[in-house]
Amino acid sequence: MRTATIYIPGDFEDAYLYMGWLVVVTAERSFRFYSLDDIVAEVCKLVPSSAYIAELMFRHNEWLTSAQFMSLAKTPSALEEVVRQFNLFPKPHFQIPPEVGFKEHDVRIDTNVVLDYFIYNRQIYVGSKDGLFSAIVDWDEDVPLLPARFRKRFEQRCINLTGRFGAVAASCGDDGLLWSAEDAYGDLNPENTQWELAEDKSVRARWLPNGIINYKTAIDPNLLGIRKTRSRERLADDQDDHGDLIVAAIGEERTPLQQLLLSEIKSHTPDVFDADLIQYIFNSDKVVFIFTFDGHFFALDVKARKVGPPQLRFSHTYKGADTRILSAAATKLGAVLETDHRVWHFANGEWTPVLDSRAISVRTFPNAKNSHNLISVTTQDGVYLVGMFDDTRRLVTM
Amino acid sequence: MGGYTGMSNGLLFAANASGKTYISLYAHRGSGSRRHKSKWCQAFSPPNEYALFCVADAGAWQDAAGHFWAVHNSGSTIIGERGEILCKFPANGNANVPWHGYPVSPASERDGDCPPDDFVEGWRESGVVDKTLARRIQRRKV
Repeated sequence: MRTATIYIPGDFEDAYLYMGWLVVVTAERSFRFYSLDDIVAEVCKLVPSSAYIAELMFRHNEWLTSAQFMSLAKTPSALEEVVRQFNLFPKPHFQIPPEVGFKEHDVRIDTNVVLDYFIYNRQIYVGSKDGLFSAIVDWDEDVPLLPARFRKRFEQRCINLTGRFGAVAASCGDDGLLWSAEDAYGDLNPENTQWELAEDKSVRARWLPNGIINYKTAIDPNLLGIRKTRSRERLADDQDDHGDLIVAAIGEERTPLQQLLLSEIKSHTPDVFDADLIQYIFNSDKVVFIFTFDGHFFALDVKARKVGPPQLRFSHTYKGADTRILSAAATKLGAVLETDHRVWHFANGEWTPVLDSRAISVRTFPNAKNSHNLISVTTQDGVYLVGMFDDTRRLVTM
Repeated sequence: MGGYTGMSNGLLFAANASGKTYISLYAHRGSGSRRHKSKWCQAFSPPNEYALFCVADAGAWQDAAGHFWAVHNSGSTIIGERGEILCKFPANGNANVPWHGYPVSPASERDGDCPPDDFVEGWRESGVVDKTLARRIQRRKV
């Protein structure tokens, strides 16, 4: 795996990629908008030899997993050239000089503890100890425009946010998994949104093409069925997913997954697996990963069906990271795992360090149009934007 | 600090500077009834456990419900056998009953295993933990 990294020093809380902008949340909770075009232009100006990789990694990252590029990369000389270009990119990172412009918005969010940030449906969402807040951003201007104050959407402590198929799902601990698809529409009235309860407990949730896995705890996943309907407007996000289908219902069908997963693993690895030692479970679109305290790591292919329990198929056992998994996220090129002291990329049985630092936030954007293979990592020193390229040509899509 | 008496259920430490007694329970040390009990790691001895309680007491690391919470070395030391770096000394309203404690993991989502958000924010502001660890505790990641 090859990486190219851009670094923005500063005291930040989080960083997000959306519509060609790197949105950075400062310690004072203002929002900074960096244009990826400007960042790439700066790399090209200061390190002309890195122009090719800067363009490929940070402006048109989707090219890397395009059929055309994959086909081209089968030619050894073409692949060697890409790798050669990678070697020209500054190591360990290219630091954005202070003169690179950004627009900063001071906003008011009525909470002192933010638990999650999320951008979807053209809105910025903020999960906090005092509830969910959101603001509609005008992304069509030269620089995105934010209102001065975020609106409160509901009161429950909101620890984690996710969105797909037009719907936003908010994990609220003992207050459950709340969701709404009303935000997908232009005539949204934030004061009157109906937030529906999909399940009574949730620490996070992750989507599948035909469902959503709700984690009642870090190790207790339930598969909730989703029913979709035709959207009455073009969706702001997810156009590449399944046309303009929007979520109409979540949780009409519910399948507890823990026992199904354990049985499937035990039937393949009876001598290795101890269910009492499960530390963390997460899923991508196609795979469920299970990590244990004793350093094992199991992968199962998962396919949600429109009706009935999911298809689960044991895939692999791997050696774990010998440390706790704090969070995990999927990219098109494998999984990104946050551990106590570093951030790792995992694919094809190989662990590759992404950043040798403790992270405050690790984000991937597997469903974003131009950011499939990018990771943003926020640390106490600043934000790292990491582009990945699989030079082994053993691509796994996740 | 560190003198103790063996009891049927643990090691009882003498009263600390504020007059609180403390017992290191065997149940959190790998013997006795261990069902659903988190355990201190071996390297973190009962005297370490007592010392940490005294640090929490002296620092007034107590939430509104009366529970004390603590980290060792700003959270860089693992104190539980499953990698826990945080511990809880549950509220004790009876001065005749010794305090006790155990490692906790907010990620486990067990009831009461996470200090309140504002308490953690206070820890961050006073430098007990850094921003990274504060966010990890508040977001139930550790």
